[in-house]
Amino acid sequence: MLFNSYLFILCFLPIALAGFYLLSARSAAAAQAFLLAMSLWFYGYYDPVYLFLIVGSVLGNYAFSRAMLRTAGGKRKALLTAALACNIGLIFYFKYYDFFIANINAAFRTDFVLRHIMLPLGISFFTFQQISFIADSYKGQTRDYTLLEYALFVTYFPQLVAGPIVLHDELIPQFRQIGKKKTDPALIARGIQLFALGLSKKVLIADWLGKAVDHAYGNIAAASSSELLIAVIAYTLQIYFDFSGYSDMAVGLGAMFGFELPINFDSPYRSLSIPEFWRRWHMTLGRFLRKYIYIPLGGSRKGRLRTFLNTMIVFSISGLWHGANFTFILWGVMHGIGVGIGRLIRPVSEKLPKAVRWAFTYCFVTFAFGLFRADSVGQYAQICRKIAARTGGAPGEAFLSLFKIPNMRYLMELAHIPYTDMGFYSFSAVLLLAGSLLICLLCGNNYRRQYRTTALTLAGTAVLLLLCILTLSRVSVFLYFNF
Amino acid sequence: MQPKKWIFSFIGIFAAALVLCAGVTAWIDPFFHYHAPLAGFDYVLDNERSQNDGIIRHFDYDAVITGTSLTQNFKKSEADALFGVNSIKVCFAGATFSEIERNIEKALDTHAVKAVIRCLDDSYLVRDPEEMRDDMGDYPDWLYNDDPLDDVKYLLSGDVLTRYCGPMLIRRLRGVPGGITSFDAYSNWMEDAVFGRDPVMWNVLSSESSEHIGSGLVSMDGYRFESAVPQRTMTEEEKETERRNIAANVTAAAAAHPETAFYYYFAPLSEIGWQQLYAAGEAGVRIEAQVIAAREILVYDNIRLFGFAADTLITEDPDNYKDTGHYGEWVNTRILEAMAEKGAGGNGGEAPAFPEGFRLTEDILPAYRARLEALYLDGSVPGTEED
Repeated sequence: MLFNSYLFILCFLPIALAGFYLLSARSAAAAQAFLLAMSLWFYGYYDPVYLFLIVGSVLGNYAFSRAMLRTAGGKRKALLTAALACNIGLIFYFKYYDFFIANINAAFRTDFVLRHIMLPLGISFFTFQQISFIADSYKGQTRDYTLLEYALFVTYFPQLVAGPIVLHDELIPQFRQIGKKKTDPALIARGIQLFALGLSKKVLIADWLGKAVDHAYGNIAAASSSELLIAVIAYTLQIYFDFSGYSDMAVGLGAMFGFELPINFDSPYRSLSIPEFWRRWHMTLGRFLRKYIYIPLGGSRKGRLRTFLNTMIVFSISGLWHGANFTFILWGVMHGIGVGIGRLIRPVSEKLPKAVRWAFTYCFVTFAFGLFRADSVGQYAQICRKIAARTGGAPGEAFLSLFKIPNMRYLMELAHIPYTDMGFYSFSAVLLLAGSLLICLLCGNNYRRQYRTTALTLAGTAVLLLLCILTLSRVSVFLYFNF
Repeated sequence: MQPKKWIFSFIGIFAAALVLCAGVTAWIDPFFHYHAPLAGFDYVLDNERSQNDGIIRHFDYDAVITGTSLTQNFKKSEADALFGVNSIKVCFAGATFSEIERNIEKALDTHAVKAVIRCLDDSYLVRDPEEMRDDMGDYPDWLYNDDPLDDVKYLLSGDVLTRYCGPMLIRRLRGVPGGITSFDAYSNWMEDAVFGRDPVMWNVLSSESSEHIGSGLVSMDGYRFESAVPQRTMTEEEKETERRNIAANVTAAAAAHPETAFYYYFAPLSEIGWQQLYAAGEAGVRIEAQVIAAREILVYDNIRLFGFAADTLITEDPDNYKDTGHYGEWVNTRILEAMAEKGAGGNGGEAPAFPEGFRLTEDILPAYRARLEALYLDGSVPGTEED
């Protein structure tokens, strides 16, 4: 099930909210069980077979966790190793098996058969979530959570398929307050507004940008240099609005149920350096990697060289986590190098004008995301060569028309405003690209803003949500659904 | 405002807005999903996949004109006069036989249909019976199925509200008389079409099959096809696929409705189009496919089959075409008149250059085949350069 669907907004969510609040007044356990059932319905809607996987994963990790809490020393370590192996093995099989085999075949000229395994939605997210739980169980940091609490923590639908990656001690204590804490209408109102804003980022901006990006990346040979350059720039904006929009929706949904989920994007395109970018982009992933990989490796405590090495390991893993393709790995490596160099030259770079630092950071991020979007490293090399060659002239009508503001032309015809097709398309492209960037740079962060309950916000939220709903008849796809 | 009041006010306003939007769409119903056109509203027909299903289910008619883009220039007024019917024109540009047949069956199931006029686009003869085009955009399945729940995609569509309902309401307020786009004009593409050898040759040069063209390509004026590929014949698998396609998507409706007359025809592909097929080694296959289809179809007495592929008065003149296959509306008129057996029409009313005429029967089929082979499989490929 998608957040941006009629089924979710008009059916699932009202039922989930109504059932949750009715039950939470009577029984916390019943409310939790209800939320768990709704979350499993949400996840299994894509394919009921996925339910076996997630239920099995939850039961298995819970069993490991209980066992570790009852043991000590070497036995506990063995259980930790086994649990990690199971989780990593699971994600390796579903996500990386074919990639691994294909590369073995390429390197050693073997002919092992690929299995074309369907990637279960959200496996990267809920696997990392459970790895964090297992690691904390090993350290004795997890409390005596019930199976119901743990299952709900892993499967809770707002963050199940695309994050944020929530830690157990962020969410389970909030579950334990169900029925005890008074319902907070201000939090619910905040959730509704945040959800509307997130949905509009996804449906009204990201999906709109995606049309031109898909067109250019799917027709590289025919695209001009200018079209490819615009597509790379557009993708940087698309991925931000898509992913951060989803995170806003997740946090908003959490708030509607009275739960606080962590921030995941803190206006990353305002960053003045690559290290700063990674303090603002996909923050919960960065938190996981820092806490469970970077710090155990030694962090920055073992000298500059080791710090750089640890950074490269973390970013390589980050790249690989995003997808089974060398494009993602190389993207991670690029950012690892960017972070390493960024830290190294910080005393010098901080003296540069902010505009210069911002421009460099944004260009680096854009260049790297162009690779992230490509099907292969070779394809991105082709794109870069073509951009550098400066061929093909100005963007063509077929490309620019993909930026056109939906239904605007009909409104202009009704209002008798004269226009030419190319003029209209060019205006739409400039409005969308520049407007999106200005939103990133100038508008307050959705997570951090104050949400007032005024007549203006009431009307604005209703109009925004209505606009999103009326746009849903076009199918849109979440970019992060393959993680 | 108190947060609790804000929340309930939001729910109320949002729900009311959704009901209003859905209500407006259901009331005006520009895609005729629920009812026929309402008096007082000016309905614009401009979206085949979205509107044809509603037209088929809710309009009043006793004849259907349908097919691919090759049928879009037919005129309802001409068909009605020639056949004595009250027809609708519901074309599906680029559609496979499967899509067209489903819609014919829907018409036959909902109305007492006297006649069905349809082009059998021979490029779609050898196709899997279940094949549907999925490369032309998102198909509005919610308008074709019986699931009322997914009607929400129609009732809460911003496109429907802003491009159809909104302008229709405004026109009504401005006093524009109610009505509906004429079926003569619906789908008709004549306005922007450019006919003649240049656009036809441009179609050849820009099409994929130009890969098969050898080194003779010089310029559009001096263009010469070179047959670099031997002519092939249909495989047994292709023949079987075609027979299954014909059975499922051409003759099934006729078999189920013996009371209805089906006027089916093979279109007049331009001579340049045939040369292109020949250069690709496919001309023989196309002829054979027509013959196989004809044999399967002629079993049914209520299907009157016509073949215009050998109508050289049309096919040899590029001024009749805007590309290798799409002909002008005067050719559609000629086809209608021939099928109604009321005269050849078009081109000054000349009869075809062969005595057997356009109607195909079991007796005439061999002559039809021989004529096509003589025209397009004679072993030489005439160039198209100026003499």
